[in-house]
Amino acid sequence: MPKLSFPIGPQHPALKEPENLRFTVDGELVVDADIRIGYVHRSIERSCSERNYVQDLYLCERVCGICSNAHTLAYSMAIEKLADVEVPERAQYIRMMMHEFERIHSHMLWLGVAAHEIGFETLFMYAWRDREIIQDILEMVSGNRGHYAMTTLGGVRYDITDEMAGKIREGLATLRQRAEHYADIATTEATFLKRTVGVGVVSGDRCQQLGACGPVVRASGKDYDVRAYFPYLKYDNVEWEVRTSELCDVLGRTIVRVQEVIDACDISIQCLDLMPEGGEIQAKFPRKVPEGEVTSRVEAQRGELIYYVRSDGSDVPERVKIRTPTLANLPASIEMVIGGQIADIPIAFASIDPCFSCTDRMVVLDDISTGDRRTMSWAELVKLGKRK
Amino acid sequence: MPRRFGIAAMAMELMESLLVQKPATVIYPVERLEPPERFRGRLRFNPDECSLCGLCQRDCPADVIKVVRKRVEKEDGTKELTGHLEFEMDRCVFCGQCAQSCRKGAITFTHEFELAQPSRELFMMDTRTEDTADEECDVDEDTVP
Ligand code: SF4
Ligand code: SF4
Repeated sequence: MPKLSFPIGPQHPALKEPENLRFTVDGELVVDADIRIGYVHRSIERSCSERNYVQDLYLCERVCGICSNAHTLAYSMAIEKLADVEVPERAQYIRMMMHEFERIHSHMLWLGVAAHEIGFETLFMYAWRDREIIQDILEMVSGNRGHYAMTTLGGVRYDITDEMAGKIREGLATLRQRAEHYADIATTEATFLKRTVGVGVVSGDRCQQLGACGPVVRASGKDYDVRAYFPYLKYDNVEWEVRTSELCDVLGRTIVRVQEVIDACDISIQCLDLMPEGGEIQAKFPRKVPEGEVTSRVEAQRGELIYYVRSDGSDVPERVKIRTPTLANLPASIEMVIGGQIADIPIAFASIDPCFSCTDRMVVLDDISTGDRRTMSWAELVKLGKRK
Repeated sequence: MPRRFGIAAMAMELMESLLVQKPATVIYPVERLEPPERFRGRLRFNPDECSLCGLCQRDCPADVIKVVRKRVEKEDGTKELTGHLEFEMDRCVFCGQCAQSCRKGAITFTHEFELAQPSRELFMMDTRTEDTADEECDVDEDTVP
């Protein structure tokens, strides 16, 4: 049978965000794939150089609607390092709880989306219903279901009251039970296994070669997690372990994420126990940040999120550079679909939990008509990265 | 048999939710959920508390606020600072930074969340009490509120 190439997107009913996927198929088998991004470029990095450090906090928060707290956390950690400001201990625990709450809501959301992609609508509905528990907690603590605006430069905006702590404990206990139930479903339910076992396979070594991160690399047997390798906030003080799976497929990614929901519940409860009573939640923060450059990284729910900030000593950053986890996971996602069935493309792609709006920064496109590729040297890349 | 466990549990849960539990959603707008205490709904501005310092304008990430200041000469020859604030509320992202920055507590948030309007003009919130001329305010504070 002759091979057939076809594009999907940038505008396509099956896509939630504009991106262009190209597939070459031989019958039902995918033999080649490529991805082209750059359709939702929003100029956020450049806009950061136009606003002051406080305003940028909210701009960075809007890089992504799902991992908004991870973005403000990475951003403020970078600026705090530059300004040499110590965040109060209580605020660090609250930040950590918000970080884990966000992981729970994101993984539960992903579980629903994954179930929907394989046609398991019951699981989709249940996962999203249970996600409301954590959404209610997030709303109670921060005032919002998304874009929480909890992290401020030098601390957090709101404290957690005793009454809230009680409700959080209660909610997380239910959620933990539900997550255990989903872990059972994922590993025992025949239809779920049929659509996930051996689908979207990529080995751990290949993941590392391609620079993948987050649950994708952990589901391929590598234990890379920023929280463990480069501990920030108070991750040193709580007991938890990096969850990995040797399965290297969609099932492995599901198991890792569901386990991380359970762990996130435990970490949050430990934070409530370890948090010092009362005290400051916000340190004084200078408007002007000393000259210098800094990087910070956090383990967002989709993987490693990196911020680079350069200051010229004014109240406006000279350069902000953001590396989102989806960008790191895209090359691995291409490998996942090649060799698989056409019907498995949606779940294989969904298994990296992609977010294209976060990823779009600036892309240098190869010329499709001539097939010309542009190669850049390391020195050129550094120059390009530092240019405003 | 472990294989049957997952689907059996889910089938039981399905029956339970059909027969016993209430729907997870409410019939809006007949039924409404009460927003939490910290919810940031419609912005409320109290001109009596405002000192026209301009801190809110400086930190608003969406350029919603414009502080207009004017010095008027009183009858006894002394000058008084007056002015007003203009809010372009269709731009607001409800981040709450203005309320954080304001040291006078002049900006607060209500629980009102149904804010749609048929035209952009209706989003303009002008707190003008008298005719004032535009004058960009210039503030320089050295710490973040
Ligand atoms: S809530 Fe945020 S966007 Fe809205 S006026 Fe206040 S600072 Fe500006
Ligand atoms: S920060 Fe407060 S006092 Fe200052 S101009 Fe704004 S509303 Fe008025």
